This record gives sequence, structure tokens and C-alpha cells, in this order.
Amino acid sequence: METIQQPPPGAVIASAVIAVVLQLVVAPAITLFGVVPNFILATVIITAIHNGPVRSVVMGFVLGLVFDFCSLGPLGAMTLVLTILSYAVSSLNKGVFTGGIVVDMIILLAALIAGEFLISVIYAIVGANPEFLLSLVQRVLPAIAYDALIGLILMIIYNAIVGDSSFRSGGGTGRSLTRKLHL
Amino acid sequence: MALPKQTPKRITGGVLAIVLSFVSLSLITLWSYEGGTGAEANGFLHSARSALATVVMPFDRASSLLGEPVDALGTALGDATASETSLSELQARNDELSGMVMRLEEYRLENERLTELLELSDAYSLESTAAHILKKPIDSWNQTITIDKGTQDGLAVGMPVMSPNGLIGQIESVGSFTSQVRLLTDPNSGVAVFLQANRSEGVLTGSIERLLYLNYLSLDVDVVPGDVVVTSGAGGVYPKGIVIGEITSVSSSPSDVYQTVVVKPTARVKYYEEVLVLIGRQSEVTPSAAATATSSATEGTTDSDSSDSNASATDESASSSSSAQSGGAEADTGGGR
Repeated sequence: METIQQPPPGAVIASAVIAVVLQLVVAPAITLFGVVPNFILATVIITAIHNGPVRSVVMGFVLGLVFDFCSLGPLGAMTLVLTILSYAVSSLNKGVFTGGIVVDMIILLAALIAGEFLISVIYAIVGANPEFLLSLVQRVLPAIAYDALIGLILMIIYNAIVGDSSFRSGGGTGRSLTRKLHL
Repeated sequence: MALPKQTPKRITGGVLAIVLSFVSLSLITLWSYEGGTGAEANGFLHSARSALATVVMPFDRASSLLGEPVDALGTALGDATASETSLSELQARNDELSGMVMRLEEYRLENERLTELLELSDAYSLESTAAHILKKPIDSWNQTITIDKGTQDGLAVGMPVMSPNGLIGQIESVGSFTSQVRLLTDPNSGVAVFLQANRSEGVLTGSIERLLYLNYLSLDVDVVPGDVVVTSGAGGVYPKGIVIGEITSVSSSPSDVYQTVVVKPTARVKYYEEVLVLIGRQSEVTPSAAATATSSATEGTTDSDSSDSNASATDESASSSSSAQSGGAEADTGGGR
């Protein structure tokens, strides 16, 4: 099985701290039409793309817990979503995809859609989202769009700092994905 | 004979994910068991969340500082597109005046009832404390604000929070130095209200669209756009007579049991930097106090205006006079924007 080159642990910890600060300080100030960008969700996904399952799951769980304790939503909801997502993304990345930035972006977008949708489902189940269908249009879709924009910026910054050979060498055309899937 | 080598078992990502997912589910279950969302919820997790509010307070203050230039930028962009005068200023001024007219109408009607019945059973005195808004919500699902006062200032879970123009919400989580307020526009908020014009009662709830809906108004109740909605005092959470907003649309279909009524709130959080937390509750009105209240009520607007000037900068705006009793809203008018 192909293994991925993981960034140093310090980079993961630094990413986590920066994500928390961005979520607590910056996110409330850049709210658009009631939609707050989710820096923590985007950071966890980006980190999971570049790291193995164990490290990703721990980071997802811890950041989810921090998020839940700082908001007034159902405690454990974001923790559960980030734990599942981080494992899924890191496993997917390790086992199937070894593409460049384009593939990473596709994974990021798919994970953001899944994450925001899962959150709305959990909120609905515990009774914190009484208007589930309406929330899909009013909250989930705008949140995905905003998160995607934030995630894209964070991904470029992350790759520039931590390093991504395929991105730096002009890769990222999706050729690896195409090869893997025999398309 | 050599013993077979035992390799230490390593925790795999899958096992870890299952274990931590189970922990997360346990947290959700326990949180729901403690009461979930709402001021009445209580338990270990809710207490822990309140305690952690003190830890993140520096972030709240940083967010507040960062929010000012961002808000200023937004205002500047809005002003740049306005034709002649500042659109936001006019909007805020209009809201303030609209709220004032509604309150005065409420005073007039209350005065009529008091004079006619010579009864002040619904009069109340309000003790309040002013607080700064530190932070807007950190996620899209909860319409909340963080204010810079907590248990050290006498605040507690469940206390109503007002702006100069009306009710804003209710404290849901309180730490030592900060509190989190769930806004009326949050889908999980609800308040017992009645229409100022005909005293028909209903329940006002927030929504995901950030609109207020007046529920349980039957089809035979006469409701028209422009009617003012005030708190009824039922349930004991909010004092009676606080202005919330005015009706903007009324609709119904033959199959409906109740009318669909949309209410526009008079208080819009984005225009304010300070709010008023009602820390006192309804009190018995003694015969002497009632007499004072009745005489003061006849001078309604004069007393209200005089209270504006001295209450804006003070935390304790409590007063036994009926000008404060009949609406704590105006007691902090000067400190709003």
C-alpha cells in the first residue's frame, strides 16, 4: 500500500491553533448574511488530506470539541462530524487518491458538503434545527460556498508553507486520479 | 525454547475513529439529557461550557476589536453606495423613532387601563445592567452574541436582554465575566406575546431565515400589518409590556388552523454595541407605589425622556417610578449606538 509523506507534528499543532484563533476571532467579524465561515472544518479536512488517519482523527476530535464548547450548539455534534470526516478523508487520501492540488480541491469540496450536511442532520435529530429542509437552502448551501472559498485560500497557504511537491512542481492536473481510476 | 516475539499492538485510525465517534455520540446524548438548547438546561456539560467562557474571553475581546474596523468598512461601503446621506444612519434613526412611537402607544394604552381600573397588578419594577457586545456567533447555526458581563456582575441564565428599541433575547450560558445570549431570531427561541391593539396572545419564535413568526393566532383574530407585538409576561421569563416589533405580513389558507404572521423586530443587534440585561424581576406593587405609579403614568413621556438622560451611562437603572416600571427599554436609550 502506498504511504503518504506526513508533515512534522509541529505543523499540525500550529495549524490547529491557528484554526481555533481564526474561528474565534476572525470568523464572527466576517459573517455574510448570517453565514459564518467554518475555519476549523476546512483546516481539519486540509490536514487530513496531508496526514495519516490517527493524527487526523485526533486533530478532528480535539478541534471539534473546542468548537462545540465555544458555541451554543449541541455539544458533541461538531466533534462527531470532524472525527468521521477526518478519518474518511485521510483514509481516502491514503488508499485511493494521490493526486495534486486539483484532486485535493475536489476532496476538500466533497468533504465540506458532507460536513455541513452532516451537521444540519445532527442538529435536526437533536431538535436544534427545527426547519431542516429550509436550512439546507438557507444555511447549508451558503455555508458550503463560503467554506469552499475559505478552504481554497487555506489550502494554498498550507501547501505553500508545509509543502506539496506535486503542487510546486506544476502537478495537480488530476492525472494521478485518472490513472488510479483507469479513466 | 525461545518465546515467540510479541509485537506491540498499535492503535489504528479506524479503531480510534470508532472510539472517538462513540465518545462524541455520548456527549450529544448527555447534552440532550441535560436539557439541550434552552435557558432551563442544566448539568455538567452546560456548566463546563459556561466555565470555559472565561478561558476564551481574550479571544472574545480580540474579536470585538477586530469587528470594529470590519463593521466600519461595511458601513463605509454602504455609505459609498448611498445617494446623499448615510443610509445606515437613517435606518437606525428610523428604527429608534419607530420603537419610541410604539412604546408611547403602549404607555398610553396602559395608562388608560390603569386609570380605568385603578389596578396595578401588572406593574413591575426593572433592575438592569448595561453590557457591551463582545462577539457575534462563531457558527452559522446559532444566532447568539457574547456580552462582557457574567456572574460577577449578578447575571444568571434566563435573564432577558434588551436593546434601546426592544427585546433582543435571553441569556443562555453565563461565565464569570462573559455571557452568551440567544437572540430572539434564533430558531430555538420563543417568547409569549400579545398584540398591542387587541391583546390577542401568541408565541413568537425565531427562524432559520432570521425572521420572527407569531404562532397560534387563530383565523378569527383581527391582525393587520403594522400591529405592534409586546411581551405578555406569560411564563414568567420576560416582563410584560416590552416591545418586540411590528407585524409586516399576515397570510393564511383555508386549510390552516392558525394565521402565518411575520414580525419585524424593532431591535436589530447589528446596530448596537451595548445591551441592557434585566437582572431584576416583577415585584409586588404596594398601594403607595401604585399611587405613585398612576400619577407618573399620566406624565408618561416626560418621565421617559428624563430617565433617558441619566440612565445611559449607569449600570443600575432600577427605579421604583413607573417610568422605569412601564418599560425598561427607554431607560438606556442613550447608550445604544
